[in-house]
Amino acid sequence: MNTPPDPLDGALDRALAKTLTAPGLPAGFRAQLRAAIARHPQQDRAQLRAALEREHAAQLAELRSGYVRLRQRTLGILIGSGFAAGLLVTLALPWLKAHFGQDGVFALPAIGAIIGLALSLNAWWQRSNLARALERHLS
Amino acid sequence: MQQIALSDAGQRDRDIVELLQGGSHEVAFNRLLERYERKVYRLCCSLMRDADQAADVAQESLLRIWKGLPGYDQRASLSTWIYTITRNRCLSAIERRREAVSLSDPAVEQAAEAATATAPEAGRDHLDLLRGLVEALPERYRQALTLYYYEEKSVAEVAAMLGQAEGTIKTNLHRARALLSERVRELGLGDPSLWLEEAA
Repeated sequence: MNTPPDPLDGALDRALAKTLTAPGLPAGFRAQLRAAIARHPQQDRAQLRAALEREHAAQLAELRSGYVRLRQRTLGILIGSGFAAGLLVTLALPWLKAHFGQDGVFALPAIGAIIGLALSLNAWWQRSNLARALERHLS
Repeated sequence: MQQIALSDAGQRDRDIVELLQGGSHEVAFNRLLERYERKVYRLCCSLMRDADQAADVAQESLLRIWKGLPGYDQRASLSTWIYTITRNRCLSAIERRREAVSLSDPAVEQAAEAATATAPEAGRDHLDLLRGLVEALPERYRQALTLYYYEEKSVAEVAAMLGQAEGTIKTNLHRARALLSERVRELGLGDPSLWLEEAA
């Protein structure tokens, strides 16, 4: 069964047709274009191909350099994190053993796991729709 | 209502293609300008949201079309080729604009929000309000809706200009209208006679 058309839709359609009128070309548009064309001669097929190949090569080089930068950064972060973790273990283990006895060894991974879990939960919460809905509700 | 099927685009531009094949690039370009200059500008206006920038990008696009005309290989219809060049130019210009003004800057975000604010104001007429509501629509809905009215309600032409399927355009138009109706009702302006008076 077809629902009858909403009168508001028809009225809005007419209002939109009046509001969204096609913009006319700015004054002097064609003259400016002709002047630009006079400054830039038309390229033949070979020139066009060469220009496109140059553009393509430049884009590829940019992509490659970006990729290398990303890999270097990732490697740097991994090595840095490894050193930092090693340093932390070296410094913290004697203190943990002194305060918590031999079982203190387990405290460090437990603290690490808790921090990791907290960071994951935070990341999940920031991305979740539930958080956004709750924020909207509260504000 | 003008409805141009996409398959008709090739037929429509056959004369230009024949001129190109005959090596009459200048005559072909003049005819192309007569047919597409305004459409290219309107597409730029819709994508760029700024008339001055749209004029610059339309110039750039038409210059690129002129320079590439001898290399046009007919793999796509002429209109598809023209609109693809134009869209790519617009996207590059939008990217440049984005780099020039970082959108992550909170002050810029606030300014952008203020520019597209849609709250009704005293003294603001309904058509201005409607324009504001259209500007605040999600980008894909806004583009489809503005081009639809620019192109005399031709879904096929809008689909060709945006490089999307006609079904996608129809869906986006439907959703855009639904969102507009919803916002208008929320603002207490759901009485059709209000809009009919303004449109008269």
